[in-house]
Amino acid sequence: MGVMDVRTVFAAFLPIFLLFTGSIVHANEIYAGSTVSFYFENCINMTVDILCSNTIGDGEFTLYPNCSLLNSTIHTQKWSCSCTNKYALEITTSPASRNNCTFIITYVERLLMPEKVVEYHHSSSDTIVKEPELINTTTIERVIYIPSENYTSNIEYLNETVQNLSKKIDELYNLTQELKQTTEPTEGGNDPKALAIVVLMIFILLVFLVKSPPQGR
Amino acid sequence: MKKLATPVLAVLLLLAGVGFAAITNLISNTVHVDVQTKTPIEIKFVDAGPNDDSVKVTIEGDNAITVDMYAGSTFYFNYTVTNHANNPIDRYPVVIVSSDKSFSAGLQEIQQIVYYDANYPDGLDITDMTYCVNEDGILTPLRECNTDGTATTVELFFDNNGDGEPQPYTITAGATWWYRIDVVTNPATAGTYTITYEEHFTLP
Repeated sequence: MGVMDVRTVFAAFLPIFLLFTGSIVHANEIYAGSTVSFYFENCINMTVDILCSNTIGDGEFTLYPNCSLLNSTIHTQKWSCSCTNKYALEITTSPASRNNCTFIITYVERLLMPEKVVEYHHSSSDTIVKEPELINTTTIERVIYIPSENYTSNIEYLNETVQNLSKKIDELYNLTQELKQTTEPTEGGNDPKALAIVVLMIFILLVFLVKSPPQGR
Repeated sequence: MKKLATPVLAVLLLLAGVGFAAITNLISNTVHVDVQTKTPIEIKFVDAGPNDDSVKVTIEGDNAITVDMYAGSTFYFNYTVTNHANNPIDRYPVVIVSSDKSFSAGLQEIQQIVYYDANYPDGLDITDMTYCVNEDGILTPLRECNTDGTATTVELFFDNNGDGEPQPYTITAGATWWYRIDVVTNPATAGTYTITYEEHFTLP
């Protein structure tokens, strides 16, 4: 059995299958030319298969938004829709449509679980597991504030301090210079007192030498 | 050995905490909807006349009337159009007239056509804005219709801008509009006529 034969058999039995299915599930009756909407809170991908008992005419179905027709046969159509969260699929039928169809909407939704921050604290004796808690961090920017009316008094105080310090430094400098002059030796070594002492010592030594006779006579 | 186990356990618990920080799930769902579409435009003849000694008009179903009259008489019919869809629809209404005799060239059997609706409650002579619809869809002015003396059926379209191009009459969603057509026949005309009203439509 060739490919075309399979399609022919499928096309022949599809209306019978849909008729049988329709006897079980009551179809919603809508007026051709109307738009039916389906809302999806979370959606990232969607395909829509349309199966009809009668021949699907050109432009009989329009899917919106962001939908494109992937393939079409006499009794079927397959659409792909790029859906997003809070997506409303709108299927509009042509006013000339006279058909009995089943829409199979297959969509993938992404569910984001709320993030939890879990802290574990460890001590030397045992392990303590805390309950999950949400930790909020807040950054505080501190600004040093000086009232404008205190600027003048602060500057005067600083000037006075600087002057006092300068005066102290000058006093200390003078005292240092005096001490330095006191401890420094006289230039050239010609101190009259020292010379007089040296001369006196030599005189006393000579007196002792003159008064004591030589012991060998 | 016990001293070593406690820090190892703490490290394992810390790693487990990092692993559970964020979770994303993907779920695939399927929705089945069974839909049966039916005609959105409801057309209904609501009145026809005058049903006196000269003209007998009978409503046949919702969209057809039969006229039996003496030549030169005037008859009328009222009809309503309702759009049940939730979208506006572009309508292309046509009137199909069938006779037990062939029509003359230029449809001389029809002397005048007067049109009424909510916008024209006093009537509008549309004789010169009425066109025959050819098999290829081309419009031909009423007086130039190529009926060649053999045709017993003609399809007429009211082209309100008179350019010979079929333009749609858009009816809003859920609206019901009424119309009345008065037809003055030629005194030289006699016969039985069946008038059928049809609409072809698309989305705007």
